[in-house]
Amino acid sequence: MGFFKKNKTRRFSRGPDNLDAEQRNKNDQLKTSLAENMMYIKNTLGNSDDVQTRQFEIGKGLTIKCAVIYMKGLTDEAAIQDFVLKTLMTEVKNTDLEQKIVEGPQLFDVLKNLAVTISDIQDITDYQKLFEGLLLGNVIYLIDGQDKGMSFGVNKWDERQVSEPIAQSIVRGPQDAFNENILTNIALVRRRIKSPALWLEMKKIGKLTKTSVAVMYMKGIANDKTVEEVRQRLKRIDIDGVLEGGNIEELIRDGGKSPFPTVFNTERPDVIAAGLMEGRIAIFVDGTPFNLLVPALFVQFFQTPEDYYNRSYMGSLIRLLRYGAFFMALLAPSIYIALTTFHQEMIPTPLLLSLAAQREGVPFPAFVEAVLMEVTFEIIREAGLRMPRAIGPAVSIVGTLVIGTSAVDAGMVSAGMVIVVSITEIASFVFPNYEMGIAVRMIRFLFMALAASFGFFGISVGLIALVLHLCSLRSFGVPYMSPLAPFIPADQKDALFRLPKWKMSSRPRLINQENVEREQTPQPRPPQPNEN
Amino acid sequence: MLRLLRIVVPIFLLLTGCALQQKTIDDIQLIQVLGYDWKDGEYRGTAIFPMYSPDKQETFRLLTSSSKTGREILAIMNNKSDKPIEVGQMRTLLIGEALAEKGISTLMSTLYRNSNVGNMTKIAVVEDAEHMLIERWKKKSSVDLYISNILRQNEDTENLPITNLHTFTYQMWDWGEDPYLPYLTMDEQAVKVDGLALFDHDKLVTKIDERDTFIFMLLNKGSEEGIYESSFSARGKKGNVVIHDIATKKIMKLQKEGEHRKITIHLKIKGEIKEYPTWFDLQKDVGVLEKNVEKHISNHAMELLTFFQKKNIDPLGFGSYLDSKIRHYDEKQYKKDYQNLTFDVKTDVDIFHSGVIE
Repeated sequence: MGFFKKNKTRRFSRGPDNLDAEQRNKNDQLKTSLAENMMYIKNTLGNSDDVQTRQFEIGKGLTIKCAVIYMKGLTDEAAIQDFVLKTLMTEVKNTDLEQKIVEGPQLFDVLKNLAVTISDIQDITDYQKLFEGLLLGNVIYLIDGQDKGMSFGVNKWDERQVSEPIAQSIVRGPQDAFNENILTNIALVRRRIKSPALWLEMKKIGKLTKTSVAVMYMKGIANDKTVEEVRQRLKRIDIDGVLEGGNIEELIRDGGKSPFPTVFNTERPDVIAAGLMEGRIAIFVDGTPFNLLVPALFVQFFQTPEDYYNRSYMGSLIRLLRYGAFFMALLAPSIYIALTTFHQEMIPTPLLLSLAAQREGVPFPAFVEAVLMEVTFEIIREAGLRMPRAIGPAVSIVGTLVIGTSAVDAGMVSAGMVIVVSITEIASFVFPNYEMGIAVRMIRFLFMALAASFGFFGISVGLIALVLHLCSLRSFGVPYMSPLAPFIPADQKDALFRLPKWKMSSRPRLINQENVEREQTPQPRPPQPNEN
Repeated sequence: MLRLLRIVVPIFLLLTGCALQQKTIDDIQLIQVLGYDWKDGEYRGTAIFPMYSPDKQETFRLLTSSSKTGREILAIMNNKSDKPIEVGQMRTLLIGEALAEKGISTLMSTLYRNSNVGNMTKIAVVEDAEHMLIERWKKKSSVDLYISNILRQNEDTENLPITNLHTFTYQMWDWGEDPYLPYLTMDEQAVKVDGLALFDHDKLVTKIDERDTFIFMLLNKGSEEGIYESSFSARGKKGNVVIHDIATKKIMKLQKEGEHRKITIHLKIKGEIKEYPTWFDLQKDVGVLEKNVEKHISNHAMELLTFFQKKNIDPLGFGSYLDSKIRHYDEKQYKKDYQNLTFDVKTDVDIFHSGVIE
């Protein structure tokens, strides 16, 4: 019975990592000869065509050979023209560099201090640093006869403007979203929280991509232990490349196999700012507009920033609606299946008659019918998403017609099932966070199978299992279902309902413990006669 | 993942074998109206099923069968049906008079214990259930929910007390009261509510007509709707008036008079005069009319109460009332007491409205 055998853990032996230039050059120091250095760089980069080298000579009498090396496209070429080449080639040329300085090792410092009009300069002595800078988009400046070089931070590449959020749009509230540049993203948050307590730690993750990852938190509000835990988990990551926050998320999240998201992601700076002020920790990843927020709780995935920008009634009611939609998206098809296959006595008679009449010509059991429709819808959804934009509308028209009318007319599915599936699918897009919708869409099929095999009994058992699972989850030490389970009365003000702002006087209990008080604004009211 | 599969796969593969029978809605025959009769020493069952087709054209099928037991009726019907028969959607149960007189406790407890039969199922007594269902079926129109809708509508407008399988079995098994069910008759036009059928434990004893039912409703819970018609004479003229009862409050008092107990029922009726002869003077005659109606209702109620006593039935649940008022009261005592109970009905009628024009 191979099926029941324990899966053997396989280990890959680590071969020589030829791709990793870092390993090879670890201890190589820069040579004194410029030609040798240039040769080495060219060889290492395989003569790549986007490596731009420019050799020239400086000094009166043109005796000192120099070179600048940079990557085309990553570097601000105008800055190179104005601040590097121009100063070195024209101004230094005219300056009377004394012969002995030129000979000696001071030349490097003289050039660095007098000749280069760029603020971000780093000395480089070994090849590891050289390539690090070069591939980040810096300009490398090497001088013949010197065993060190300079790296000018003039990197600049084309990036998207800060624009409206695409995945998490709201009506009332700030309309800016993160873009792909980590520094812009951090600035967007800094612009919102002007406090020296907003601390930032940056590091590089990914052996090949060397992606900048920043951990941001409010010192004094965020739980120090959680911050330390985030640091530890990030440190543990040993991976070749990080292309999106999702890569980091998967490597640091709790509940490894759970379909539910335990790390919150958002493209909205205001959400990150609000999270930080509650004591959460933001993780910025370079190259993606979606940045992470931990610890993430179940209720958080049902909150939108708009809940807080509108009046509390609307925020609360819409939030309740979302919880309703959660159960609808999760259970509607399975309840329909259970009712029609097992529990006909629970359907009101007129409805039952019309359902039965619809089903009369349908050859499949309700479960097959439901799976057919759900899978068809998922295919249409996926196709609509992946299609080239121009073909999109065509797909949706065909899809709608196929699902809507033709399938019913042809007697493949019953009209009732179409309604149930449509409601379900629309309900699953109500969640402000896409991740929760994905989890629900997956679990729905399990519930459908349970309903088809065991009726309501199966659904109840499934729900119990689901609740047990949710309660067992944790996100960075905080129970996933809090403040519902464990029940924290003080935090109910922002769980199922959203109480008015002047009632939200404390921060969530489990997320931070030290600095709990958030505000002391009293309830707004007209001036009282006995006041002043 | 594998661990999860190890649990899930056996559940779906093995446990489904023990799971309940699938009853997909279009693969079963749903009884909507079931009639029981007692004919030739046997139960006779008549059932009406809706037959549905994709074009929504509803037709009905009727099946009858006979058996020694009530449950087997359905099994025999099943033999005649192309799909398994289910009672889950049964809305109305008709009991033939002959069967009701014989006693229906076995039948009712069988139905009550069946979890598929709703406790809200309507029950009614008819003269001949089979005959009524066949007649309705022949007319081919509105069979399925028709009878249960008639009953529900009349309950909503308070022409009938609320009855269903639950109230019936409750009253049947409670020693302090006796059940009652609506009595249905049929004429050329329609099925019609024709008073109440009163039971002694589980046996039909007698019936009362609609006018009695109104009084019965007043005495029972105090009604909030209902039409009462009364004759009225003043200044040598005679006519009929109709009073619409808007709100009735019932207050019961228990007194002990020597050996026997006396129950005083005080009815406070607020009403509206609906129809009156043109000579009727609203200013002067209303007082007289009120007195008149009070007397009328009191007498009528007393008549009804003594009638119940004479028949030795207690549909108004005085036994339960005594049980709630007297410590250590039991069935035995009540059996002795009931015939010796004396009643007094006091009625207080207040006609305060006569329509839009005063």
